[in-house]
Amino acid sequence: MGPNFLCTGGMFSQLFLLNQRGDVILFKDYRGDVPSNIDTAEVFFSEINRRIKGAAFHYVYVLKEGIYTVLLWTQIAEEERMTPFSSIQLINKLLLLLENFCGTLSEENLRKNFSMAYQILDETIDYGYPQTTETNSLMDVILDKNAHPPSSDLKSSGLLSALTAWGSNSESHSVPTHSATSASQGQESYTSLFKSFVGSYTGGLYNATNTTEEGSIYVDIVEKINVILRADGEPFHSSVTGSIEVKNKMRAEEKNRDMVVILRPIPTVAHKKIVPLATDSKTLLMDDVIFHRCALIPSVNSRPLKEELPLDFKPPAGPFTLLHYRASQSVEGDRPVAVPFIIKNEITVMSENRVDISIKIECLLPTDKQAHSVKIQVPVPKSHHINSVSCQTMDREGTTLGTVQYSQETNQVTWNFPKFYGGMKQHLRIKCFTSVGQSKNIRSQIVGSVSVHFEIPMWTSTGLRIKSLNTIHGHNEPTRWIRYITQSDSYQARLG
Amino acid sequence: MSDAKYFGGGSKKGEISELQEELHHQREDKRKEAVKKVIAAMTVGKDVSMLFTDVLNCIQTNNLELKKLVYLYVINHAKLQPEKAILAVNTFQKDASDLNPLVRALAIRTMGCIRVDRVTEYLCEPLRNCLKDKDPYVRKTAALCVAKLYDLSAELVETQGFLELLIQLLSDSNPTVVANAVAALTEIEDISGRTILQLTASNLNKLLAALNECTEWGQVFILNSLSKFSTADSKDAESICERVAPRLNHANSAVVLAAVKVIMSYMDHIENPEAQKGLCKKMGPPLVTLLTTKEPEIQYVALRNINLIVQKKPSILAHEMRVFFIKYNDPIYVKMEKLEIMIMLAAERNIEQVLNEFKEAASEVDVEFVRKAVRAIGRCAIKIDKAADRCVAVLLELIQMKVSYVVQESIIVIKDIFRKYPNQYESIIATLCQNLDTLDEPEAKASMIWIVGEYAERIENADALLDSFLDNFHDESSQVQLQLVTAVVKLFLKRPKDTQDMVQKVLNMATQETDNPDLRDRGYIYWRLLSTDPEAAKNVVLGEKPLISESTIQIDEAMLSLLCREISSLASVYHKLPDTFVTKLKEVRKDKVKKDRETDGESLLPQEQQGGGQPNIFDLDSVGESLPQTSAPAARAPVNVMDELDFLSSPSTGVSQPVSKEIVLPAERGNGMQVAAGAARRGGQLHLDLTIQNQAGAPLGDFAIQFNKNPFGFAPTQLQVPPVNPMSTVETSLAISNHPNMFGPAQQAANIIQIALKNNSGVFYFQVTIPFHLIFSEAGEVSRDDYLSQWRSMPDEHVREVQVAGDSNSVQGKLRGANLFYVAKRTVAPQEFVYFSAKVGEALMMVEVSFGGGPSRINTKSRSAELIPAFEQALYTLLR
Repeated sequence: MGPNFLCTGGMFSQLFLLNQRGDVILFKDYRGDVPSNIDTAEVFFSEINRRIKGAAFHYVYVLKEGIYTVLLWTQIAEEERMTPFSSIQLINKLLLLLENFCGTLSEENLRKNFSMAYQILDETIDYGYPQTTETNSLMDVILDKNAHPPSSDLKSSGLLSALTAWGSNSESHSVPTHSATSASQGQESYTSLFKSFVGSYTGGLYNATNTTEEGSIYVDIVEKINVILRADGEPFHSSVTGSIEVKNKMRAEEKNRDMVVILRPIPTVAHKKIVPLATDSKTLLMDDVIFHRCALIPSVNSRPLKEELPLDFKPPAGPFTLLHYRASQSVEGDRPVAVPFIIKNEITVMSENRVDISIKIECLLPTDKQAHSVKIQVPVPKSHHINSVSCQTMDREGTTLGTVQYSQETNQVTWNFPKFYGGMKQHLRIKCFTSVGQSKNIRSQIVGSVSVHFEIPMWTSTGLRIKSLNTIHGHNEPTRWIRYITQSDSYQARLG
Repeated sequence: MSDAKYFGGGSKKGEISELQEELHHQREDKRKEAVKKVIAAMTVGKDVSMLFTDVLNCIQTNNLELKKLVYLYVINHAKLQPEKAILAVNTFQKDASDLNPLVRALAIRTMGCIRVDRVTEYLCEPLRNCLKDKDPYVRKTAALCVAKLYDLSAELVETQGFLELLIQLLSDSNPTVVANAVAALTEIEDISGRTILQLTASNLNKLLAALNECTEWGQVFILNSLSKFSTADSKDAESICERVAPRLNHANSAVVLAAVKVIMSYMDHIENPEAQKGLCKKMGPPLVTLLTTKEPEIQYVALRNINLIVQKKPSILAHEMRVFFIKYNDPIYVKMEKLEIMIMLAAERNIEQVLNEFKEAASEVDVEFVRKAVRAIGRCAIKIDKAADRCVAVLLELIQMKVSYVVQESIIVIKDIFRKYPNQYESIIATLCQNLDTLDEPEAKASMIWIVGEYAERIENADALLDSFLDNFHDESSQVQLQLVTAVVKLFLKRPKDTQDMVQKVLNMATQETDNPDLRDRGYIYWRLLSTDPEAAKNVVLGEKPLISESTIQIDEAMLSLLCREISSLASVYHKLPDTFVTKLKEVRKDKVKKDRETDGESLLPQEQQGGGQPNIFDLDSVGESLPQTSAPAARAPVNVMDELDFLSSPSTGVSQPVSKEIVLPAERGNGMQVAAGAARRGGQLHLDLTIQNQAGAPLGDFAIQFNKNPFGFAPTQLQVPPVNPMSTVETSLAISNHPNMFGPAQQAANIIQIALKNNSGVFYFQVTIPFHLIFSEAGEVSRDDYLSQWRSMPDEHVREVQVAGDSNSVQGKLRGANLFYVAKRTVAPQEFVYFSAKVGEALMMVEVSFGGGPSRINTKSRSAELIPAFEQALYTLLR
């Protein structure tokens, strides 16, 4: 790129939100260095659609819920201070803020509350420099508390959909410790419940008028597990990224209370020079922990380690991640990550025209736990090599819960279980018949790895639990909802 | 009330006048409604600029929401109507001393964004007050406002003492104020190119104290500014790192990377090895955490940064190998990057694991990836002596799989292993020879032939093997031909008796029957060597070759240190220094400042030509006929004879690179051909300098180029590119003319040319941006009389408003640099009209630029009316 006289200090010049037709929802110019006769949103949208890169501008954008959020630079300056990381972080935080203040992210909600949205854009960023992206600090400076729609308007608002989502699941909510078992319809219902709880905070801060929600604090420990297994079932890499997700719905007068949470086992981090207690069952050796700002971290760093690790925090309103952690099977061989499934696979060339794939899966969960929506995907040779595929489940107890499906498009056999109980073992034999003489090289036609998807409620791979959750000077404790879930992030078994 | 309804409405007639009426309504809530409607209309792109005075009318209000909306409107429209923006100044000033700190901040924030000179004058006093305001919210807003003001008028900031005030804010009690002051100072430093913020002990303490307290974004500003300092004192460096280290555990990855950057840049100065080790230990886990994000794009950015960090300090992630294990569903670019990092982390202690991963990777489907995995095994063999046996064993296993591209890649890699460990693995030669027939890629063939030649004395049928290639000698690629010549000569020197005919035949073919000068040269050298002094020939051809060493470190030390200072930025993703892909902000700014201040516009700046001063030896136009066709090999710098004779060293053309180029066609899109292009003017003509790099397996040739029709009618002249061998690069310069037949409407910006480049493997498309200042011909001057008569003969059809930075004098200087020539000036107070001429090819463009008395206008005239839109676009850019 040649010299360009449009030069700025490297922070972005404009921010805009577009819908998928390219219409502007919100538009803010921060540095006034784009010629006013250029419709940058238009330029961006045409470049995106034609997948070409024009020379004039540079963008970072995120497409979420059908909305493009775009940061625009007139120049990548030499001292580039908005890095790819910060840009995406900023957009994500901004969207979260808009969601908190204007309700579920949608074109309609943004248009409905555009005056507030503009205030947010004005307060969070000045001259292209991010200022603050925290809900609490914005509450003081953002006005228009009447922005939420009056009740007559509820039908179309994010609030109502949120309420109905809550209502329909109210049963599982009233007995949170049993929510996993009541969600017996399998993944669909559980996931939707889970989403309405952790994923999106639908109400909007000013809209939280519903009394059933008020006076509650919701805490979820969510773990995503990442495993690579050898063909013989031996895991050779396993790691977990987990987080403690909190949604604070406490009443206004309780909102500034300090809370204290006690975790078991106590998470420790090797490099933080804590008394080495790694072998002790009371500690959990993590690779990395990141606390939310509101947490008073000294409990991990400097306090002498006691029986318990009380973690003080001052919960801000709305949803936030109290703790983000990462644990993995360490070099020394101790394994803070429990592996829920073992999968053994074997590929045998049976004859001139037949290859067999045998898959054995065993659930290592305790017998009172179960995995939901277990989906096992097994690669088979490409369809043009294959005459037919026959699958046979061979369950030792004689009953099988799984259903098996072969798809020619994906060259995969999918084995589904609505539920998979702890201790259960299942065996699947896939026979692939090919034209005569093809089988010799057929092994190299089976590419990929066996992958498993699942969700395990009320169980964490690291065994992390919340022992107690209290306000510090506690009477009138808020209603506390605590749940655990482990999801497969990437669970793969290499082929034998 | 829901605001959505404001968007409905349609554009009924009389809507504007209706709005106008509402804006003057007695009741404030009605006025607020009306302003909301205006903002809604503005957001969707309707023109509501005519309502400026009416909206401004609503600014006097105690309703903060209404006030914010009005301010929003004013920011967006002040630029177009500067004379009206003045009307708002009174209110701004009043609001800037309002009782409510929110209002004060709002006023000062908005005033800074109104880029109208005359408003700027009124900004100084309120800004000074706000910088000393008792409320931190106002102070932090004011701090950034200084940066805004500096952009508008650097002089005001410096003469009015705002810099000193800003530096005082570094001691502010509120950390966010400190952070914004740092941000503002950093920006001003970038623009002015001088250092304002000194790293003194007290400044440092202030920054580090604020670092713990301020918002995450403030932390990023402060960390970035810390990373620009340097200290030679070990104790200082250690304490800075110590205090920055807690930021590594931040939830915001931008903070984490900024902290890594600071620590990496200070760590070198720490003498205490224990402290260094401790820091390395602390950096590892957060870096790995960056990889746990869901989006593969973010993972990629993290991996590219980790790549740099690992090259600099491998110990940081030495024990985290498993994190880089490849997942089947990783996107290819993530897989490639992981592979690269695994090679760097490979060591004796983990080689078994790593090799298993590579073997796994080599059985995947993506050919590029598989090849890279095979190469990775070879690189490990060369890097770790003790692992060589294992690596060779794995490679043999892969060869047994009989997948063609795996076999070929393995052979290429084994050739390197033979270079590193001569006479250790001849036992596998037999296996390799079995695969001779399946080789069809030049590099693999050449490698195999090299192996046969090198070990000719131990391969019984070496003569037969080589002979089988000779029949098709002329069909082989030059890489294979060269290697064949060398191998046959080696064979002859080792077994002279039965190969005399063969060597005669091959030397004949190389010298008599080929056009390839490389081949001819090599043939003649061998021939003369053999005929004059066979002993000498033996010493040369069979001489001991220098051992090759591993090439894991891809970036040299100095470059790496520089890149580590760019961690987290785009440079760290490209692995290129910023000045290779962005404009130097400081220089352009300095120019601008200089020009702005220059009262005498006639003292023209040197013409802005990128690298125009250094003649490029491949500029075929200037070198002309003296170097036909064979110019590339002829110009090759003489290098070590041994290297020349042995194909293992890729030919280097050794051409300096005077024009900054950008990659317009990456190799993955160009079927292995990577093209970088940059424009320059030389000898009165626009040139497009191209660097063509061949990353494919086969030589590239038969180049031809074509342009799409474009707004300036650019047309290519004859493209002269010699064939490009694999892994080599050729530079060429393409003269560009302007031709009326090439004229076509703009696809995007007027200065973008869409180009099709053909070679023997296909046609590839890319686009090149010609900077506007390079577009116009040096021969753009015309006599005043000619100009005037032509000017008068044409009507005023193309009049546009533009934004002009600077006065008529500075604009003259600026346009002269872009070959727009000053013709005359006419003054009709308060306006000043300046006339310029320029030529696009032969087409004369005439333009009148007006200054003063409202917004500047340009009036363009040309007989080639089709060029006017593009010309106007160029002026928009050049005048700012």
